[in-house]
Amino acid sequence: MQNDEEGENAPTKSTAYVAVVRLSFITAGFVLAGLYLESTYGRIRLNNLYYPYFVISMLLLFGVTVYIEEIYGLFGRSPDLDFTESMKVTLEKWKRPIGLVLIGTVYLFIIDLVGFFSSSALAMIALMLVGGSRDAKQIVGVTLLVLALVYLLFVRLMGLQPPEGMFI
Amino acid sequence: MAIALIPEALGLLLTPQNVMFICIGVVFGMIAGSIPGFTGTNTVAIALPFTLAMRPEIALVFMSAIYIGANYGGAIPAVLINTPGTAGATATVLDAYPMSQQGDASKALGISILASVIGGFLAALVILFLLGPIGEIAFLFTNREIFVLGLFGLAAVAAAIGDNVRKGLVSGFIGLLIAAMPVDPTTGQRRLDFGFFGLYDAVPFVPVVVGLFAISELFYLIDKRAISSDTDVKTTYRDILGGFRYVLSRPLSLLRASTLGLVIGSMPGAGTSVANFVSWAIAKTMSNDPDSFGEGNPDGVIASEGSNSAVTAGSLVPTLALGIPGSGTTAVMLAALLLHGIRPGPNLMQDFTLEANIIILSLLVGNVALLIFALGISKYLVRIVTLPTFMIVPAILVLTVIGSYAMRGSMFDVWFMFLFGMIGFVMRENDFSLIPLILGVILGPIIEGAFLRSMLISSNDPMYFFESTIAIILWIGVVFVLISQPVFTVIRGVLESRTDLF
Amino acid sequence: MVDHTRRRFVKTAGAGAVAVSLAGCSGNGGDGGDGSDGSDGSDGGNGGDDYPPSSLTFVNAYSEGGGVDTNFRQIQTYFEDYLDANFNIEYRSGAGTRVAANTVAQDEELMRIGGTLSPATPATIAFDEAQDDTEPEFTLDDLRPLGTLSSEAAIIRVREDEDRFRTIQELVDYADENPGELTVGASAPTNRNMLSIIMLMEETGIDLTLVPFEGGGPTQTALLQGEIDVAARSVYNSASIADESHCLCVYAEENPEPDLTNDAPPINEELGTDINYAPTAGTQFYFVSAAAAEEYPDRYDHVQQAFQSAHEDEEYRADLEEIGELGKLVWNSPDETEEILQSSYETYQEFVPLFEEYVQN
Repeated sequence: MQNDEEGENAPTKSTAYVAVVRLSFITAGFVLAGLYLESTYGRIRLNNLYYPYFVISMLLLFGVTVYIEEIYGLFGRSPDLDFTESMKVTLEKWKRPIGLVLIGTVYLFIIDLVGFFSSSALAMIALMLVGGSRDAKQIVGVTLLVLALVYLLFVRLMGLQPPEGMFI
Repeated sequence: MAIALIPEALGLLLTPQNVMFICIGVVFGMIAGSIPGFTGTNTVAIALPFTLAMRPEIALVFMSAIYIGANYGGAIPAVLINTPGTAGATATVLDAYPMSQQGDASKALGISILASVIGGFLAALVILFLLGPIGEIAFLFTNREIFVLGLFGLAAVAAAIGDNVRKGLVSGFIGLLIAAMPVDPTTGQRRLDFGFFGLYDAVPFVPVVVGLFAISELFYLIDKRAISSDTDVKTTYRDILGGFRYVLSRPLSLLRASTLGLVIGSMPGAGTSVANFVSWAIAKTMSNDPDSFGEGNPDGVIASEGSNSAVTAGSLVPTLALGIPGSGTTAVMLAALLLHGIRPGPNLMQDFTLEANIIILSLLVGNVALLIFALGISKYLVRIVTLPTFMIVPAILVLTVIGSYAMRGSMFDVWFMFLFGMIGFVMRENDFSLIPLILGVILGPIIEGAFLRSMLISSNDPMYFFESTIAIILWIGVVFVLISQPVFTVIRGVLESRTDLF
Repeated sequence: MVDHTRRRFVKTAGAGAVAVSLAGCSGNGGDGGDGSDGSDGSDGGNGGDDYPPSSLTFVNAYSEGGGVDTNFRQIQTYFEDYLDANFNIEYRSGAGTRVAANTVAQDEELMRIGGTLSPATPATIAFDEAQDDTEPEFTLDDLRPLGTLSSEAAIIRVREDEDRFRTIQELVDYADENPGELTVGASAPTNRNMLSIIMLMEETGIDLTLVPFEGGGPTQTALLQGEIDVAARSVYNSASIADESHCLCVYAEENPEPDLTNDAPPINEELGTDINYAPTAGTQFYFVSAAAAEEYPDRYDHVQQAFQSAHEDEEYRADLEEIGELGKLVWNSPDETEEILQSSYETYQEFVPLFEEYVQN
């Protein structure tokens, strides 16, 4: 999908790096399956484990074939970049999304500390700066508008109490 | 249903006051449904105090109007920002959002509106005349049948995955595994919940869907100028009405979607979140151009929206015919009856035939109200897709955070959503389809619980699953959807080689 | 089906309710805890602070439309009147009432009132302690009850047209001759209804197949569908199938509501067994955070008094009488409620091995 956007003229990334990216999701699935086996086997009666263990075996079966397929596809590549360089290229390409992850993480951490509305205002301002807006009036305007909307819909209309901290 | 009562019921229903209640209910539901985190169930619960002064049947009419509105409202963010507002609109996202990206947001919204309205209207008409018989069939669905029905849903989607079948299956089985992490349904023992009470008895569905769709989309959106590639789109009613025309040109698709929604919705324990997927998957399988599904095919929007609005009517079938709630929302409606001093039970229908008629007729009126109000606001909503992303991205982030929080008042759910946003991004980058994972998370608990209970009831006899007519019919359905795609392809190939239609 | 004139009562009870509820719904303003000075012990606010605020939060440990919800909606108006504040309702179902109990336990300002069931909530502590890797997130010391609202005894229901057994003795005899054949449904794997059947099996030595469902509604549906043979339910929460089912016995010294239960006899009386009824009865109680109650004794007194007055209110009782549910009201003072919780907790500590033996093996 989006991989194709790299285009033909982009330098080819290191094989090890591509392998790490391509196999990450399935590997995470395998780890989850392992943890599942570890936490349930011998503790829960076998009759109740047939279903989840069937799911796990199917996951392993199809996962391994995809694994092999992906690794097979990696043969015969001629990478231009080594592992660290590949990572740098990716970081460069995904600059803004990575900013989004960082801002999002900090945002969720501070919701309980300073309250929902204050942390949301900070997160929105930070995100608009990362997104490339430099118009102070616009930034403040959008922030106030969205938060007012949230207040009206969630708090007034629906009676929800958002998390509170030192402020609101 | 006593048809003779219809004129009397209509007379009682169509007072200015009741019509006003229906309109207010539809609008309120639509607003709530469009916010991820507010489902039909909690919106109806919020409105419950308002209904206490109404006559019981009018209270139900009001709540049904909210239910209709909420059910449609879920489609609005699905079309515009890649986020289903309710679980029933999940499959709507698949084609409606790509349409918006291609500059067809108005048309997509138009299709979603009219497909919803007609789907809901048809289903209500059917139950007006066939409530009793459908209720009797729904009553035959025990855990055994629900189990096979769940497998049918999985099979239908598995068959529709398309090119990357193995990756789709991996994604689906990971979804089923995630769904099996909470407490064991028949022993009450904790499994892999990592000590989080947020995962104790169920994997929260809203954060998973919102994370996978909305948050993962933000990662791409932040590098774009606007959601729509064509930022000059004029938001006029012409395109929306173009969507209407498209819907009217597909009567058979609509009928299929509505029937599926009605049938699946009327089974206690299945519900909205399943019907839209099954309908979408079947539409894709039977389409001449299956590959375009998921890339912005308007028929995909019809399939999903036509079915989920029919679920509303469907879930009222066991509610009215048997006094058994067909969904979370109808459970609240039955509780409201109890507050009015009516004990809902299997005799509800016999004792309250006129009232039941009024409620079903109100679905027809409610869908007309929905058409008017949804059309009224749609033109203004469409502008969202042309707004610059530096505004949209922060706004969506904040709305999804509070939306995930709203469902259970839990910050755990917010973190969970964010985590699934990153998982969704990794999956999309590696060509894993998101749909099977979501379906696994939805269907997993239904399938597992029904399976385990059936095994207990039958003393672990696997033949038990083949010992009822309905189960056997469903098994045939499972086999059919699994082989139909290849068979259709062969037939089509043969036909195309013999005729020069194309 | 219960007669239909009953619904009229809502027009009198409901008219007042709406005025209050409308205000409650639209004007809660989010003053759920004004935050900055509560935790550091500057308790100047013990007398004469502006408590209660315009709205408090009712934290329901179960979901929309369930028994705790219905009971609360019935008493809500009266409770609000005596409290002089409105309620926001939060549904914090999940983890077998742990989520709600924990939410209320962490409230520092006495802004949240929880509604849950005993033995469900005390039992979770016993279950968590019995699991090797789970620490209970709260103990009974963290919760301060306001009193009990209602109580209902466990019962056993079969289908109305069941002809293999019409009494509990016949059921036991049948099960004795056909070990493992009869399937019994209950609303959860480790709750009091399941316990009522386990105790029956322990006392009589019969072998029944236990089938845990997700909630009481599906259990009842399965009974009527013929998927299971027997349903372990309670008096009031199974009233909707009173006409389609036949009640065999009650787990109480005497039948509290013969009309709803086919005038079924107490199980011990009929079978000569020695089943302990207390842990099978479901008692709904309201509670607040113990820490907040200690920090703000005046607030606690105000809320507790309001609840008790609402519970005793004549009009409230008349409403319930009209729908035939007055019998469910049971009052216990906060201290008595604490004893009930403590005893439930201790009883379930003993019973954990039974659940392991019957449900988990």
